[in-house]
Amino acid sequence: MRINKITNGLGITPAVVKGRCWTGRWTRLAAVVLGSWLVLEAGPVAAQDLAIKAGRIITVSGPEIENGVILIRDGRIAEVGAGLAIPVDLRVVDASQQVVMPGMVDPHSAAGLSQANERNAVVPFLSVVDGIDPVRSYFEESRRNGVTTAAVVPGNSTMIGGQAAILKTAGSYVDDMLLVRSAGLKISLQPPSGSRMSHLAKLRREFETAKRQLAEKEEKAKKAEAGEGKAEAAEGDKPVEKPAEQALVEGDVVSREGEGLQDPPAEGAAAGGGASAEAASVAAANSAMQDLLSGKIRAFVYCQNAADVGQAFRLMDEYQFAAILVLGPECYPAAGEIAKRGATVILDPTLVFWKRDPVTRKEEKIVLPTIYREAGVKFLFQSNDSDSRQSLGSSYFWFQAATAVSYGLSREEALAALTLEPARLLGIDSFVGSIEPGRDADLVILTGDPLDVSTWVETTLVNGEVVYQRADDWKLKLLLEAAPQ
Amino acid sequence: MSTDRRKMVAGWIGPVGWSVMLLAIVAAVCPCPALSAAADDAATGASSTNAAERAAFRVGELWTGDGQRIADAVLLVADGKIVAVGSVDSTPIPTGYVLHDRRGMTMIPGLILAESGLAEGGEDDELAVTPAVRAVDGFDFFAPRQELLAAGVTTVQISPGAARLLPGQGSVVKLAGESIETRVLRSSESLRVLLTAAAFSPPTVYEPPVGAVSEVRPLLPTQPQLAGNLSGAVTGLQALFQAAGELDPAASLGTAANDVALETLADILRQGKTVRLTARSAAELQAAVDLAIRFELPALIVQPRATAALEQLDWQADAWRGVILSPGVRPGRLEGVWGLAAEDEEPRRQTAWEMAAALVSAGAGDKLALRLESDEDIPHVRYLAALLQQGGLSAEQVLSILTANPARLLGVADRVGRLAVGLDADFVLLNGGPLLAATRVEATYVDGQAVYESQASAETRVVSAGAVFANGQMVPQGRVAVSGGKITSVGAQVSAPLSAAHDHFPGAVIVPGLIDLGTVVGWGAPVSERLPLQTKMGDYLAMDDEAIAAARRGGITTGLLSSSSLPSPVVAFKLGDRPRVIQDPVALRFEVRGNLTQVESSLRRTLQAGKAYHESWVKHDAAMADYQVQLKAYEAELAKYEAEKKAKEAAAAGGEAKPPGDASDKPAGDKPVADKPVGDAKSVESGTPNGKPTDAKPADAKPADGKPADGTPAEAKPADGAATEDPAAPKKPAAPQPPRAQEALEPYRALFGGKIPAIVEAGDALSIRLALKLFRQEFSLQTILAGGPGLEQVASEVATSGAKFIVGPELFGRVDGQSINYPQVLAQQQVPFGFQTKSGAASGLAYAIGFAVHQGLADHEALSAATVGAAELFGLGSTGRLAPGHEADLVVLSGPPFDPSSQVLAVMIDGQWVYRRGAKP
Repeated sequence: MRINKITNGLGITPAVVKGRCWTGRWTRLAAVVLGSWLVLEAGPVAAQDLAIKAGRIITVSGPEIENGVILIRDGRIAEVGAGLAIPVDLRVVDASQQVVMPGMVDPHSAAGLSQANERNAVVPFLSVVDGIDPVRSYFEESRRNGVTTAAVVPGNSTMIGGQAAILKTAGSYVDDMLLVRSAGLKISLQPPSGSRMSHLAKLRREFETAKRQLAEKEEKAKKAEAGEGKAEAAEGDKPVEKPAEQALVEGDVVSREGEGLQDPPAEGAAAGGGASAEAASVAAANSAMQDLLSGKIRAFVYCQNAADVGQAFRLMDEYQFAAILVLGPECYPAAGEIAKRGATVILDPTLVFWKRDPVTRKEEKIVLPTIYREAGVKFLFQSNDSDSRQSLGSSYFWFQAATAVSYGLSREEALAALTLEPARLLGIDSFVGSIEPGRDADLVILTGDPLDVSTWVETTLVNGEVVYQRADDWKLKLLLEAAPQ
Repeated sequence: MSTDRRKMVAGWIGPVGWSVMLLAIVAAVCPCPALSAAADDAATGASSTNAAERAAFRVGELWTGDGQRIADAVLLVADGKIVAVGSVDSTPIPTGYVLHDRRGMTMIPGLILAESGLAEGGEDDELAVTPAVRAVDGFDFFAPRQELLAAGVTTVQISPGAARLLPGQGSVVKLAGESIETRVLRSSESLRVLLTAAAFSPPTVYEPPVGAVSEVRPLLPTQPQLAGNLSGAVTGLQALFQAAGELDPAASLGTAANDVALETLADILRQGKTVRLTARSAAELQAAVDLAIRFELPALIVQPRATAALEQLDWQADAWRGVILSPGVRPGRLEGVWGLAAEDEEPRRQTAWEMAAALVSAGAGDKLALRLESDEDIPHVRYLAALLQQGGLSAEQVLSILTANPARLLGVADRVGRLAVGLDADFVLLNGGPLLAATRVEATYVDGQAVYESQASAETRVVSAGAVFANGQMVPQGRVAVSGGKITSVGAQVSAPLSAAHDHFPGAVIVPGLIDLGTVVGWGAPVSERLPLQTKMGDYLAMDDEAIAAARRGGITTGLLSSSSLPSPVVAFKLGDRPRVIQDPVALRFEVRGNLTQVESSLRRTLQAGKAYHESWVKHDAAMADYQVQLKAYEAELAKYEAEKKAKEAAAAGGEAKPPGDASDKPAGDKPVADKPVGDAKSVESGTPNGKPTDAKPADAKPADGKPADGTPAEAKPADGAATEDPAAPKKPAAPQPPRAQEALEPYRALFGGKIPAIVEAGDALSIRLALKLFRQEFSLQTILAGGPGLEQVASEVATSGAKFIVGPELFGRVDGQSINYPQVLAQQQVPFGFQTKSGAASGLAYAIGFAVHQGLADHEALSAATVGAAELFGLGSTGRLAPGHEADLVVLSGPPFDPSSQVLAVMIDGQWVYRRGAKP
């Protein structure tokens, strides 16, 4: 049952506009689901029930536990504490000289995609699920560095770049990895070229269109309800506007197990032909935008500079949608405004850089974590996957937090910013982000303190399965052996 | 009786007037408790947001922005809004309001620019018609706007792109404010239409943007866009407005068959939004007017260059929203100045003020606003607007063009543009009339919060007062600019950078710092020990000396110090906390006192010894000069000799073998050695076999440019050595031996050399005569007599002898029942003189001089004697005068110099305030 336990209703969002593709896709999806069912039924149940004896457990959500034990059953944490009796049927992993922490949660990354950005500027109907390549080195690197969950989000260069998904970093197929299928819609405020005004005018037009479509849909649903009450309601099942945050956390994202798969593509089927067919097809393609406006999903809004931050807030106010701000390096002048809003933001991967003041012509060292911390902004990190990064360090998720600590962030905050905080922001903190009974057994066993440069990841577990072991990491071995020459 | 009363009243007006004025000065200018308290308020107000929530501003004058001026006004601010405004009598300040006393300042509303490109200036969309674009979307709310706020601009209209026919909607934003919501006054203010040439070359669109519906909407073909020229633009716009007008408002929205741009346009027109028509030439203006009339557009005409087409319009009608003028000139640039530019189609462009005047008489006076040629000019907006006064507009009208008018034009008059109850507390504090050239912005407030406060740099300081004593006369309303410790400019107007710090002393008088030619302060205690004459007294000046501080509180900035045990050296120094030596010694001080016969012989001996020593050096100097001439001749001869010798050797070497490498050496050797620098010649020729004569050269050359006094005997040796080597070589002349140096007599060299004068204290007429006989007649020294008593008997002798005089400490004597005013006697005899205090009460100098003035000395003569005259006695030309290039030593007096009521308000030494009355030390 685990594999599709969190399939969103939006899982059937049309990946392509063409209505005729529906049957094919439907069958394929069904086959996948059926297949996984069979595997689960036939295969050995609970292959990896483990007990980890840890020298130190960093639970993140609670106090650290010295010489504790974590009991793992069915891929989840069953019990955690000091001096627990270890049942005989569990395999014991001895990490009594080591440190165990929750698997890290990368809140924003496009590295799992074979191509981060689309050429077309408005592609709300796309989902990263269709573009994720599980054998990309990003996932391997993630396991090696203790990142067990990642929000894979389309790149920063497409205006409406498609829908993000949250995945575990271990698995052979995308569907094995999926935690949340539709985790949000990526919107970029960075104009590809030309003026910001035009960019926003175009974006606003898309919002207006979606708003209108939503209104039309609701009207239709109301009519249908008043009339025969036919089962035409389809996706617009809950037209009542919920507060966005609440809907995101408890609603559609995690609760509807497999249910979405039964929804037929209502608008497409109902369409007659000609102009109305076109309108219906347009509306269907734009359903992610409608979901955004109705509060079913959130947006990831990329802001290149401070001006964009201001515009992002204006858009959010105007269209009443929830968003996670993904900031570029030049956003720091808006730190005060962000703090006023109480928003948690995802910082640019380049945390420290030099900038020449345009007025005084003086070189200034910009330390983003310090600026945001002093402004009172809660922030998270992302790793740098681009080739243009200035240092190798920024490509390590944990290193970003360590950098912030070296500029004054507290250790506790830094560790939370790697685990529980991103999980909370993404609304998946009931699954990952901390070591508590009931959470997924996504754990990292480290040789020492997580923020210490000399610390190695010894073992990484995802859903209670060992997905990385340093002893078996032949690539690392090769690298280290080659190093002295 | 009645006339007597009148006289009495008249007699009293003076002093009373003064004291009132004084009070005003003290209250308004000095860093008195009231002001510093207010400054503290401002400081706390700027730092914390809560403190300024309820604030009262009291200003000298308040311009409401709609044509009114209120003198001595009060403005009450609560929660960022104006809650009351009026004169101080009609507007009581309720409790709970923090009072900001700014009575020296003028308050105007925050300025408004009716058009700007501050939203991502210069960025144009690819498409020519994009009515959906909104300028506010391109506005960076976090960009620093200090420069604009410093100019007093608080609200701007921002316009979308400037090179397309219909680039979108303008917005109105504030340049500062609590949050983005409060800063956006209108996100959609007007629709911009450009009929100017800049819009006539849009790019050809090759690839229209593809939406999510590419399947059913085919690609549009490549097409050129509107507009290529004015007629194309007009035709295109007519078609657009026509089509937009015909669009069915109910059915249109959302159907993909309709053009989105057209829908937006129709929507904007339906809402009755202002259409902002930019049109410059007469043809463009006519087209704009025609368009507006035909489609009944609420039109705002922007940037006209002629008003003929506009003067006929009915400006009372609401449909004609207004005119936004462009000044047509860039500040500080000669290009484009009216009348010089001839690149345009117009035979003669109207100036902005001509247009303003024409439009005012056409009834559009309250519909005028201003834009600038470039956003770079915004810091100079007040200056550019002030030019409109040339057209006969009043200052109030011009200010309205920057405040109330644009607010009305932009539809934000309920928020900004005036200082009236209920509006946002956006205002500017100025240090003078809003349109005066020299007026600066002191502070800018938005929503009652200070968003800019002038931070004058101490680099340059402008001190202004009711009068300045410069060039021997009083300049009324004068200023002194000071930079780098020097005075850079003096006069009724001075040139100084905008960032200069200003110190204004209304009604006060600025005079040069006084010079005390015989002070006792400087060493921490009076100097009475016998000092060797070579003592550098300047090395022992006391720092942070209270006596020095007391002296300069009396307006003394420069003092001459000597020991009371004479003869003594004299040092001239500035009376700063760290006294600065100007010249050491500046004079030698002698006395003629006691048994005159004895004094005469001993003084003569002393002077003779000094003179002999001096003359021995004079002789030596003459011999040295002679030696220099000989040395030069010798060098020339030596060079000639060497050249010959080299030529001989080269010829010999050439006879044996001639390697090709030598060819390059030879020209170098042939070159006259004298042409080369000595060191250079050495390095080039060190490889040649005959290095010795050249080696000798650098040593020989030394006395030529070195000082004759030191080291000459030592240098003679190598020269001799070189000479003995070759008997044919020219003989080097021997340097003259200097006389034996006697430190104690060294100062006499300066004295007899005429470099420094002798100060001779003489306490009575006989002593004065003796002093004149000895110092003037026998030794012909520059003589400055010091004293006073007895002067009346020998005044003419003093005058004819060419001696000068230091008068003091007694300025006033009484002989045979006659009162004698020594300074006045000296002035009458035209003897150059200065003053000395010779007492601990140095600060009393001004009062003493005041008494002399009271007794008949002309006050300008007294002032000159105490300042420039005193400086000239000792050749201290860099101080004592308020003139460019002189050291910035000045004294600010509350009234006329030496008037009994005048007090020293401030003292500046070397450009630094060393004393401010009322300031804590």
